[in-house]
Amino acid sequence: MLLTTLQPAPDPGRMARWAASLRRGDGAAFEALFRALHPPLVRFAAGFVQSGAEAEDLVQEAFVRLWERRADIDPTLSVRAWLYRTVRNRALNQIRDRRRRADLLDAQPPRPTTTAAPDIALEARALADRLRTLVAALPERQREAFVLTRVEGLAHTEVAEVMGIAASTVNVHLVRALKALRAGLADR
Amino acid sequence: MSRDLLPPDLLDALHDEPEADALAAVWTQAAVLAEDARSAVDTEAAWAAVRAQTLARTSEHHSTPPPVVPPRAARFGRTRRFAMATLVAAVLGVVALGVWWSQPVAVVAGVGETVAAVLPDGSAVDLNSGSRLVYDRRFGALWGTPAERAVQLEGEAFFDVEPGAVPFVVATFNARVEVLGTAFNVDARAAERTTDVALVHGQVRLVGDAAEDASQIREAVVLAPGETAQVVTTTAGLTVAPPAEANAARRTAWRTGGLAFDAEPLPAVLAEIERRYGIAFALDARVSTETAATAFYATRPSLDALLGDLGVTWGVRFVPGPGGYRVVPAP
Repeated sequence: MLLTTLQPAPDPGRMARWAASLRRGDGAAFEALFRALHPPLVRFAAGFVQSGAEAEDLVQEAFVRLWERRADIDPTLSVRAWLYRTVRNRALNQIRDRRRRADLLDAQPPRPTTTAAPDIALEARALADRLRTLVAALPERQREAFVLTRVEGLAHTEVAEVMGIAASTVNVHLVRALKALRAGLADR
Repeated sequence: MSRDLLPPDLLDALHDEPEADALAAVWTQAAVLAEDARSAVDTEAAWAAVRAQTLARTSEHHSTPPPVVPPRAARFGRTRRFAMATLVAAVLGVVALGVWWSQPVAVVAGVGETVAAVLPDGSAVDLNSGSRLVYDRRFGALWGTPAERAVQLEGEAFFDVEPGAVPFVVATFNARVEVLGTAFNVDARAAERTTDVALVHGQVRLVGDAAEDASQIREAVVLAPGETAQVVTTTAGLTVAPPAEANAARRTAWRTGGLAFDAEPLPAVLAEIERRYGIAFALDARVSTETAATAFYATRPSLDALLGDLGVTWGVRFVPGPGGYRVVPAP
């Protein structure tokens, strides 16, 4: 069905209004923003870190930080992008710290595990599993650009803000990601 | 499953690729990732935790809790220590209750959904897609009757107000609707610069009142059942249109999933469809935005049927494309 397969339309007007109210310390706007963005942010964070609890913590910290800095919100920038960026940077810091510790112990760095569904013959499930494995194997920047646009539904300008790159560079990563995924899907 | 739509920026980039179609197909296939990513997330519990660290903490600064005397254990007997602990717990309880009390209640209807809510006085509200209603707990009255039953609306809602001794007031970005016991529809989209009120039964008073500018308060009009009136923000300030006959069934069709447009300009019609169906339109420059549409669906039409009808009415075609539909003149 057309309606269910479309991304939830990001409503920039609503986000901007929340951001403006949040700047004035409006708790209701903060709550509305939290409710709208908490689930996708936790999903997004779970793509970086190991456990769901860690992902939860990262997202909660980001929101607490947003509240503490509400007076400094730049009305011209996207609050959504700010939240994704904060979650991402903290996740990457955690991974880096853990890797350093792992290196010291001469251990294997933790790898994202992709569990294959055992008894499901459904084509869509198989495709999803295959795609998930391929996405996980993408180079980090490509994976991020792809997940942020395709799964999280962020606009190119927002992805650029999150990743700290130019909007045109987002496309470069995306096209490369699509090529790699296509090659991976064909190679079978 | 229909084809998923590519973001416009990406579509531009794919133009130069020899295998654009194959790459676009991968994008479409990846819809399964967006679907299965919707795992259960406990937003309620997380909100409670975040609120404790943000809103609750901020309010504590305002209502400084009574200082807690450090216990001098040496001099306190067991019972006195217990009494002290009880007192501290009670004080914390009161502070927590006060913090909870001071948070306004927000009811939000996202894109593609409508939400029904019951207000503290028993009045019923239906919220249309992309709308938000905010009010104080018990309308701000700790006990007894509040001075007024005030709610703030952004978007569209239908109110069935319980009769009461104090006025029920709906504040929008540019107007106030004051009522006693009645049922009425308010459509207030700042982008369309208009607050539109349609009355089903009872009586309402409509006042032009842009919250940020007291000099902009305009004279009130009183609506009778079956009438509609508007407050419009213009470059010259607020104007209040006199009441006129309206078809209430049409104004409130959205409550049952239906759609009604009464000689509404094309951009307003498209904006409502975007909110209701969660899609996007891009208007071709050759399509006149002056074109109006009158249409009525008592129940939710399929998007295909709706776009088909509007295409015939307006002489346009809806072309599926990057990020949504392009609206172009029919050949």
